[in-house]
Parts: sequence; structure tokens; C-alpha cells
Amino acid sequence: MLSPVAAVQAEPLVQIEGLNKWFGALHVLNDIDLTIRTGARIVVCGPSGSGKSTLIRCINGLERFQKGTIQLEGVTLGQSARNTAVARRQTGMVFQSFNLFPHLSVLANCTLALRRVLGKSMREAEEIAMHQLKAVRIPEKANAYPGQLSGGQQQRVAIARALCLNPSIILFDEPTSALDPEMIKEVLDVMTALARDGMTMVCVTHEMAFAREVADEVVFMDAGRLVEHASCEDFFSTAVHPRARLFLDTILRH
Amino acid sequence: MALVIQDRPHHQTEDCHVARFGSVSLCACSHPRQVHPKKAGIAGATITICRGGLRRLVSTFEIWLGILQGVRTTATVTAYGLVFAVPFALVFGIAQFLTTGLTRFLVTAVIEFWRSSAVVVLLFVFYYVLPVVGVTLSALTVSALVLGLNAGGYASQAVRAGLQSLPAGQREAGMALGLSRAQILLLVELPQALVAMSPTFVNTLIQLVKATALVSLVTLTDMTFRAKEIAQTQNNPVAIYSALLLAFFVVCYPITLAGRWLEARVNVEKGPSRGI
Repeated sequence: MLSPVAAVQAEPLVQIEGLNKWFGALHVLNDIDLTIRTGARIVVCGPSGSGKSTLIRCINGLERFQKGTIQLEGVTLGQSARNTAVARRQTGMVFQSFNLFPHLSVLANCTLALRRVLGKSMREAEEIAMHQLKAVRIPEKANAYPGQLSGGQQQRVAIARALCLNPSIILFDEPTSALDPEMIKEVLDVMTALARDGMTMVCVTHEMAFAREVADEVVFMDAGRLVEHASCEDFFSTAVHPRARLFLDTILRH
Repeated sequence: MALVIQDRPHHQTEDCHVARFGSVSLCACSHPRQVHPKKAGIAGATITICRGGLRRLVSTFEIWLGILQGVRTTATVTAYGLVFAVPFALVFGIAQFLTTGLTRFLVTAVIEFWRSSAVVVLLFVFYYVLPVVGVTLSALTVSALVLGLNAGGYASQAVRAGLQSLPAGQREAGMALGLSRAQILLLVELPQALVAMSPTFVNTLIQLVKATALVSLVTLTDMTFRAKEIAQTQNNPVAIYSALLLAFFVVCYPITLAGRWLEARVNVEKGPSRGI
């Protein structure tokens, strides 16, 4: 396990208060309160349909919500779309299905937002992109197209693409769920290295071994509620909520 | 493609001159209406031309050249039509993709007007009816406008379908990177949609070329009009209209080939596992 972050001093980076969201009649997020400190490594787990992905998609404004507030580095994301641009600039996101742009080379995938959102020159953007591609150990594929890469390679490129914008927090939405077993490790290794560098990350995942090794906090969700939020150690040893216990028993048996 | 004229033993006593042009055979012999049973099966069109042999065939070729004098009008109407079709397809296809509610209904109404009206009727309305209300457009402009917007209506549906068929993750990835909606459309969605739909656009272009056959109805001297002109001086409908058929084929087939080449390229660029 990584050394625990000095929890007390670290400032809250994201503060979620009373977050509620409905899809029609379905109450997908029910009164969520969550504070994410700078440098935190939070794993969000729970059964399918419990609202994990929806929660992290609210943080960067991919989903609207009906009640509550999210504060991101002091900027309030209300129900309106007003501050979403700010939120998206400060957050990076990695998707389950990678979502690389298939018509652009790996390098162009990484430089697109650097140039068009941050207004960097081609040369500067390529320098940053190559640096990040080296960090995910795939610089030799810079000129390849996403369709020519394996799933694991694509996901590593997606991580590099998110890191290029130097986000203050990176959100992972089941980053390994679409991967073949032998490719999961290469992606988890990159994520572990990222955690060691002190990146603030929130990761929705079912990889409990990864959670144990990397996370310092675990959030367990069930039916739209945040039912357990504990340090990693406490969660695995003494999770109290019966639903969390059942989940752990099922998932750890495998 | 080479034009080969050869003498060949025929199913009856006389010889028959067969010209092969691509997959179309012109059979000039002295027994009209009788088609060689085998040849009828093999060749796409075996056309029997009345008596006179090789000389007749040469005159058919001359008719064909005469018809091709109209190719310039056909090309002009097509090119001018594209000036209407391409912007219309892009603007309305994208608008239909982006808008909702009443706006979308209005956009759809405009598209459907151009797509679902008979082109011939539109030509007459714009050429003969508009002057009554004080709007006089040249025959060329009317033709390009009507044919272009009709083809544009079809192509707009390809644009919309191409955009709609992209996975939502593409837009979300763009949003997560902080790109604006317009940037996502221009840099992420349109490049993929237009490439994927390019074979459909080639089809629409061929339809536009073929639709120009109608502009002779509003006095333009296109290939069809030339054929009708020649038909007034020579009583040889079989040769004239066969030659017209061939003339359109000669114009459209290269576009088909270009489209096939394009389609092959598009499929290559997709790469082995573009699925996700």
C-alpha cells in the first residue's frame, strides 16, 4: 500500500454537498456528500446501476443534476451549465470505452485540446504530448491510429490524452472493464504510477486488488446512495454496511 | 475501353457487326427484333439496329458524338447544382442533427419539401410559375437550383445519419477535453461522419447527373435535348436513344469507379478494430 496522504492538512479539491439526480422517476443519486482532498486516491465501487459512473460524470459536467452543489477548486458547479468549461479544464477523464478519436493519430488525439482549448503552438503541444506518451510507455505509437492499437494501448493513450491538459484531478470510469484480462495489468500499472506521483484520482472500478494497493479511501455506493466511505484499510477489514459486506464477500471470493 | 468493330458469324445466314463498348454491345445487322438468345443473356444490352451494316453503325457513332455536344450543359448543370447541393446538405443535415422541437420540425419540413417533391413538377413551377409572381430565373439557374436542392435533400440525410451513427463517447470525450460544441462538431464529428458517408455522396452525385436529363424540359440543350433534336431530323429512334443511354453511361461510370476507389480508401482508413 502507498503511504497515506497527510489527510488533515490537504485542502478539499472537490466538495459535493446534497447531490441529487433523477433520470425520470429513477433516483440515481440520492443526497450524496463527498469531499475529495488534493492528492486523494479514491476508489468508488458498488453493484451495477448504483450511480458510480453518474457521480463522477457530474464532477466534470458530463451529467446535469437537479439538486445540490459541487465545488471544484472553489468554483461552484450549479445545476446550470455555467461553469462546466472551468470544470472540464481542471478535470481529466478516462472512459471505459477509451473514446479515442479514430480519425486522428495518437499524437493528434493528445495535441487536439492542447492546441484548440489551451491555444498552445503545434510544437509545444507535441512536446507535452510526447512527454505524456512516454509516461504511459507508448511513445513509439505516436503516429499510429487508434484502430491499430490493442485495447490496453488505447486506454493508455486515453490516459496520456487526459494528462496532457495537466488536470488537477483525473476521473476514471471503469477504465479496465472493456479490456481483455492480459491487458488490464498494463493499464493498472500506469494508473499506479500516476498515483505514486501524487495525482488526485477518483476511480470507478471493480478491481479490488488495485483498490487495496493504490486507494487511500474507498466509497461504496448502492441504489444511488453513498453507503460507506472509509479509509482503504477500514473498508476491507471492517465495512459495516451489510450491502458493502455482501459485495465484498462476493467479489473477494473470486 | 476500346471500340471494336468486328464481323462475326451470326445465328442466321447474314453477318452481323458487333460493337463492344464496355459491357454494352451494339449489334448492327439486317434482321431487327431478333436477338441472339445467348447474346441476350450475356450482354447487358444487345441492341439490334436496322439494316445497313457497318455504315449504320458509323452513323450511330456520329449520332452519339452529336449527343455528346450536350455534355457541356449536363456538366454545367451538375456543377452549378453542386453549388446548391453541398451547402444545403451540410447546413440542413447538421441543423437536423443539432436542433430539437419546433426548430427541428421546421428544418425537417424544408428538407422534405425538396426531397419529396417530383423534380419535374418543381422545374415547371420554378420556370413557368415564378415569373407570374415577378421572379424570373434563367433556365440554367432553375435547373441547378431544383436538381441541386433535391440532391442536397437526399445528401442532408446522409450527413445527419453519419453524425447520428457516431458513438456518444466521441462527443463526451470532446466535452471532457474542454472542446466547445462547435469544435466537437468540426474537429471530431464531421470528419468522421463525412468520410463514412462519402460512398453515399457519390451515389447522390450520380443521381444528380442522371437527373439533368430533365432539364431539356425547360429548354436547356443537354444530352437529352440533343437526342431529341437529332430525332427530329433523322427517323432512327433506336440508334438515337441507344446512343443517349450510352452517353449517360460514359459520363456516370467514371464517377462510379471514383466512388469505388473512395470506398476502398475509406474502409482501409477505418483500421482493423475501429469498433470501440
